[in-house]
Amino acid sequence: MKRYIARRLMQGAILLCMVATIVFFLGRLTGNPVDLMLPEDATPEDRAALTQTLGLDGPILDQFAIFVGKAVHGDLGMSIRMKQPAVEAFFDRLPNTLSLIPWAILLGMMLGIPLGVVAALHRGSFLDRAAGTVAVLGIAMPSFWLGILLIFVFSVELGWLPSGRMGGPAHYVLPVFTLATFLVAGFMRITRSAMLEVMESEFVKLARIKGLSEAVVIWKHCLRNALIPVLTLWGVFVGNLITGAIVTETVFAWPGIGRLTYEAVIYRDFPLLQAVIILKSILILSINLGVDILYAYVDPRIRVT
Amino acid sequence: MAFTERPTSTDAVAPRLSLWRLVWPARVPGHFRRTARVPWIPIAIISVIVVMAVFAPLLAPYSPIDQTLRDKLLPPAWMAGGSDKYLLGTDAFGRDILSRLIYGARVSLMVALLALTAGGGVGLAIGIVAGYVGGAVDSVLMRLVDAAFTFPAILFALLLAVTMGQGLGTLVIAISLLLWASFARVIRGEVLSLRQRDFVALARVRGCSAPRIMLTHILPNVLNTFMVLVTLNIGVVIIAEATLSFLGAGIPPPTPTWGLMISEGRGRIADAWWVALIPGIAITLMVLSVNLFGDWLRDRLDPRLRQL
Amino acid sequence: MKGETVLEVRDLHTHFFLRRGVVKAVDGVSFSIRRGEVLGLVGESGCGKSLTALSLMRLLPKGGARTIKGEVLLGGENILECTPAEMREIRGRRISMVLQDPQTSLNPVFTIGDQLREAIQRRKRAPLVGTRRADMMKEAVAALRRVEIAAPEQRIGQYPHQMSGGMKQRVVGAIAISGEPGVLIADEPTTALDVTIQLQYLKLLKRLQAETGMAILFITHDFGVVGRMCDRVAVMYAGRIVECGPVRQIFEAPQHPYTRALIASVPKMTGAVGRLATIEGQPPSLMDLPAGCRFASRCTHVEQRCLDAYPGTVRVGDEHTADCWRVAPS
Repeated sequence: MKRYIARRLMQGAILLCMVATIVFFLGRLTGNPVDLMLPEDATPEDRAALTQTLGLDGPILDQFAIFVGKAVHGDLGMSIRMKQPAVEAFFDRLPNTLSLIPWAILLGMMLGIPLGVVAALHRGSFLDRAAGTVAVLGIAMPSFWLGILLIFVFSVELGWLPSGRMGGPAHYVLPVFTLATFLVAGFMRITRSAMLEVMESEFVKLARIKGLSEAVVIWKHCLRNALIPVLTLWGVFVGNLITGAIVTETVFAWPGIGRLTYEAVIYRDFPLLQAVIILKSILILSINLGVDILYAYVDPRIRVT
Repeated sequence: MAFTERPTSTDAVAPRLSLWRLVWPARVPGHFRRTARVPWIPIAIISVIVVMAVFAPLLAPYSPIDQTLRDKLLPPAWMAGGSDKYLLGTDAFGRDILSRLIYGARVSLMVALLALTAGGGVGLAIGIVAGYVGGAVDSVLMRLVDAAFTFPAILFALLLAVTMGQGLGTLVIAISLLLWASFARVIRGEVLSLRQRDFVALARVRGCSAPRIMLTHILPNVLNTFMVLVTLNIGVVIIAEATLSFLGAGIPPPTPTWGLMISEGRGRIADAWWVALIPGIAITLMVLSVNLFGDWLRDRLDPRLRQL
Repeated sequence: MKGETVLEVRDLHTHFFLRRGVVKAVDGVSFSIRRGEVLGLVGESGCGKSLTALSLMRLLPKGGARTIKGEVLLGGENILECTPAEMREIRGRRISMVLQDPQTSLNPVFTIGDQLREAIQRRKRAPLVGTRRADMMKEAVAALRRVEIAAPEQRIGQYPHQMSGGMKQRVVGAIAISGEPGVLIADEPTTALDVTIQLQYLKLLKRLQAETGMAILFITHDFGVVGRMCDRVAVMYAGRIVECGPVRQIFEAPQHPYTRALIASVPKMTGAVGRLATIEGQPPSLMDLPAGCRFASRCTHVEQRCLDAYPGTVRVGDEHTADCWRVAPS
């Protein structure tokens, strides 16, 4: 098990380096990186100072070395708009997003997985097709539009829920629901197809031969195996969640890293965007590693490899 | 006592209807055979939108960018205060929503076409090369694919928009980044199995060079899969374009795109909901139709792809 | 140790109702097994042997299969008429089954110990929670020891993929007999095993049977195994049993042409090695069965009456029957 973890860590580190490299080179692509990184009202002295610090008048490899050196020390540049180190801005907002995501995952799983099992059990029936329609709809709707629609219905028209910003539990409802919609659809689809496949297995026949009740056969023997492919897609889901958060936090004015990304784009705050991407990558890689470890725990066959 | 035909427990007999029974099965679930019906409604919707896109100048009642501030924020024709002049109402600048919707279809489809050609094409090429050549080339390329899958490409799309500026080119490149990896992976799988087939061995024996084999033998045989992948990904592209436009990283105003329309209408949701909500309905309908159509096509052409 | 009849099957019909037709996979099968006896069910692939077994357990595969006629008397009671709940009680406790492929029969995500414990708990009718796990595990170890698995304490904590095929098949056997069933159905249990392991497994089954006195329905397509394992044998062809009788009699004096051909096609290790005997032709389609004898198209002694009508079951000896026009009743 330990070797497995070590190997995944190394792979993650390599991926991170690739991302950082690409981000770096994209920044230098335009030929005028100084303009990208400074506000419009910057003085020539500011320009000179920056050129000096980042080595922008030197060879590209030197610039890269400086970039990496600074990055390792936690310095990923200064946000133009916010006038604070980008890393600081990121970590200020990170808790807010992290308070949102687990709820979305929980909701997604608690709704999606049982729906998938029920759909598989009653395959072909009206229930199955209804659930399937819900799933397809969940993937077809752009999540930012769904968020706006929900705000319109529940906040503007009905006045039940607040329309945005962080606050008490009521403020969590709509953003979590919006984020979770895509997940519910995804979980449902995969659980359903995984269950359908597992239900045909020989060991399921053996479980029935043992005389176990149908409920135990389905919810214990089948589901546990069906969850394995579900877990493999967790990694993809996490990536979608991070991007979904950008849009959802924007729509609901939630002060998290998603909103930060949006602001970086709108205000053309390159240093901030650069930092956000690298830090988000680290976040995603960490979560993926966690998922892989969980996967190895759930499916004992994986531990051998 | 002889036992003659009677429903046994393995038959599909209507169970006692109860919520409990839905999740706690009492009997072995029955089998159901599903026939794939031609999805007429999705096809109709897709056709309407394509027609809208192609004949936009003929169909749209007004220019999408003309501002008539006098007529701003009028509700759709069927609501109180609306007029027949503007069937779907107007936005904050007095522009006709219907016209902007129609021209928006044009933009969406054009971006989709370009991105699918670029991203799909690159993915196709990489998939064929990786699958056919194999070895170190394959390993490296697949590592890249894995990396691409790990990171949400939207982030890179945003970065591109900021560094290279907004515009059609940037948008197409950005969305292509989203696509190429999944195309590459699936095509590579196809090529791996094709590589073993006799006609490839025969071509090699005849002395065909590798590039020639890839072009004349492998490529035609993966086109089927490629087309299915294209149809399955149109929805992805449309939503990606809408999302990027919404975030201000797509095609700059005043060109109407559905995502941009939603973004602009957001602030006015309280008193003019139609500005933001109507374009979203269009997106949802289009993506839904394309996905349903793609599923049907996939089932017809290549059910093995059902994993996707 | 032969005792009273524990399982009696009368005129069993299990058909597949498909859109393109009806597949009469089991078309009038009757046999009985006594306590302590091993009845072999032999036939080529597709003749309906496995489906007969599944019909007995009432675990028909999805896809239109239904048992439409017949009786299955387990201890005198017709289990085809039981409710699903009653059937669940019966499965595992009074009748059990060993499946063919050990690689897929065990759930890959649970340990051997867990899977055994499930079966043992059912036997003891203990609730799943609150029962002392240690006691259950001790029972599980004992069960493994009973099927001759070495170091059972270690095996308890292992997963199926960590064991060989032969060992897995023993575990499946342990699970099957944990409920102390009166009848065990063994559906080609050794087909997927290495030849060297096969013999050991058969010996194990025989030993278990001697200990428990259970009746075994041994399904196989290998006549060689029949000779080792079975007391009586029923030969199945195209959905029906064409010959049934004591193993010795069947081997020495097979009456039905199909049986004769099957026995002749078993390669003999002794004597002169000539050309391997085969049976020409193919079995008839189960959707489109002929009116007469089903073996007629491949039989070397076919007559007109064979094509006209199906021969009834003819008694040719003590407990020996055959379905053939040309056989003389005793």
